[in-house]
Amino acid sequence: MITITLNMSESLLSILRDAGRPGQPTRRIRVEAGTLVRQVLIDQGISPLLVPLIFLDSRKVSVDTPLQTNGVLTLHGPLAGG
Amino acid sequence: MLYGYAGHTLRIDLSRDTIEKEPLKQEWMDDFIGGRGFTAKILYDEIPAGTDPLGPDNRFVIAMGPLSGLFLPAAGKTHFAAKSPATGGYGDSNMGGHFGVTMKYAGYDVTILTGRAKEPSYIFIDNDTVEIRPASHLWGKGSTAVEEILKNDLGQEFQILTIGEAGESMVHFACISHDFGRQAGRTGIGAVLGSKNIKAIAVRGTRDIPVFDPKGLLKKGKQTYAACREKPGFKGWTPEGTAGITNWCNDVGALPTRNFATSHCDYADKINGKAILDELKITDKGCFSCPIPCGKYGLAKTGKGNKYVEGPEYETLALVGSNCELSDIHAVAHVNWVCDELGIDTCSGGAVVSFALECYEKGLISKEEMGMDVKWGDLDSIVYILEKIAKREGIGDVLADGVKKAAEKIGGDSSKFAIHVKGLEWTGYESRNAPGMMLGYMTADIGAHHNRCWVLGSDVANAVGGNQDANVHDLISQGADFSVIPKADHKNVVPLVLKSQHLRPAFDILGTCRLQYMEIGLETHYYEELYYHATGKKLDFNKDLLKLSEKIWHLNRMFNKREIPDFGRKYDYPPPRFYEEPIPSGPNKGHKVEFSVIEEMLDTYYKARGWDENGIPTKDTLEKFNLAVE
Repeated sequence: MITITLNMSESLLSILRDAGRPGQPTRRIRVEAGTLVRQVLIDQGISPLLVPLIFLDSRKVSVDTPLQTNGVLTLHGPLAGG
Repeated sequence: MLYGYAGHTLRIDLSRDTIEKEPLKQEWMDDFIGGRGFTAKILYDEIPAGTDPLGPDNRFVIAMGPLSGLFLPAAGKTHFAAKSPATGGYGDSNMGGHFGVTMKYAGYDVTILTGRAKEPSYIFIDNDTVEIRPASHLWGKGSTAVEEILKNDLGQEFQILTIGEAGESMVHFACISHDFGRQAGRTGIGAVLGSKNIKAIAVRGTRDIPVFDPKGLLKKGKQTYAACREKPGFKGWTPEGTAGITNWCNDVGALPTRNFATSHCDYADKINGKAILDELKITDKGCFSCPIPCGKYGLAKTGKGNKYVEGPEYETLALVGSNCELSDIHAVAHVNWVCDELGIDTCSGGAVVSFALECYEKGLISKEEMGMDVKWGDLDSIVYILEKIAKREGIGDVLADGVKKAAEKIGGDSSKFAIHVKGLEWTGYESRNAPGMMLGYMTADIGAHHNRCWVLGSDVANAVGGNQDANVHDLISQGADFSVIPKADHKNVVPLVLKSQHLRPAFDILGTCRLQYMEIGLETHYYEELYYHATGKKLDFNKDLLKLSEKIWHLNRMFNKREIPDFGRKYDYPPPRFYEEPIPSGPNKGHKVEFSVIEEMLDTYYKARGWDENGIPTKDTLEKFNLAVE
């Protein structure tokens, strides 16, 4: 098992709140090494369609990225353009 | 002693050649606080009923908020407003950069232009020295050239605001430009400045803004920056800026494509944030005091030459890119540069060009009328149409009034695919399966503008549920051709729309960028405390500021009622394409919004707002908000 610090941006949290599923800006979770980011999202009740930007240890990654070691996963919700 | 404000209104009557500096009205500060609050109040009170938007009686208003220009994150927003030539109703637009901050340092919270200068002119402001100067040497020049000439003549510390050729020609979607790539784009305020024969405003300000508690403000400002840096969302949007949502919009079937005929394209990877980083970007660019600079400054290389340009932002990628079927990032960036130089809003500009291309494709505009054989996705065609518009030449003169008025002249069934609300072109979010977003566009005071209300994320959450792995990107890339995203429910969208419509003005009133709140999650108590240290006054974000936001919605609705003949419910309807044509492709294939749903959403929305069934605020509602307007 590995430990992932799961961060969520306000833009994502606000959508989840409005959908009646409030979340925490930061929490720690334990997952099997090799788990895909996609699976983490689904396990947390977050559709991958709500997360346009994902960073793993400050590096942009896709939902199909496997989590191999302890790290910080930051999820950004969508935001209006300029 | 007045704190948080520079303390003055600058009034310039261009017809009479008079310049007056007067104390900022206490009533404005007490009841409307600043920025968008000021502009709503001033436009209603000072523009005579029935004024021609391009006539001398219209007002061009520049307003800052009490937090503008102070030491706190992203306090560089400036609000511009006028009666809109695009809609005939309330019009405004907001811009970052450094212009408004410098106006405040020169001593002015509000500037109001009336009349019309006798000759092309620019306004020179250096603290107390304010002059109307000849600008024949600037007339006809692009935005970059005007900024360079004035900065070289006056000094690099001057901040410049300018219009391009489209503003001079009073194109109804002309913008104003500043800081080599920042625009206040919407509602045609550049045309209003052009109608007044004003090419530019140059300002230098060197004064302090008096604040109630300088040490407290400095301490709280530092704490606010620190709080921003510690938030999980802090680093997210700087790398790609707003372009970072391009693929997301495509994946959720919201990317306007081919004049909103559909909502998905197969080349989003070529015109997204990564393409900007890989192909264009030279450096990040931020506004005054911003901790998360989202602007990208880059070099576009096409057969038409190499051009330095800020952007493209998401809206430009959507409306100039996929909506015109332009699939090369350099070409999109080149069109961005063309729009900036000509002074054309890229949102409306892209929407008008795509409308023209569809009219041409359907034979509603002939080759003879167009002047050349134009094609979807062709850079030459798009630039050609934009230049015709800016000069009001031939078909460009018809298109220069926007898609609503152009459709009235072109005829056929063109009004069905003229994508606008109230005369303002729809921006970058196709909404046939996003009922909340659609209602937000429909009911916005200025017309179809996303920054009045943005609830697309909640619409998607509503459609896909909690943990559905729709996996749209994979399915589409594997060639799937079926509806992937379920139909979104419209039943509970009104509270979300109202919440968003009230939150967004709050930052326009204070004079700050909303991203620190919306994306980073900066808590409201920071704004309350910063406001207190700046002004010495208590402000409850939820009770006072959001109530003022709501008041502004009622006031602007009444402005529209007064200024637009037969204004009411029918002005809130979306274009027929959205309720008559199901989306033909992509993850939302088959979805459209039923007209009965539109009516139901409007009924619920009006009731929640305290408006009658025609969408007019009731007497009780006006009294509740202490609005003595008719």
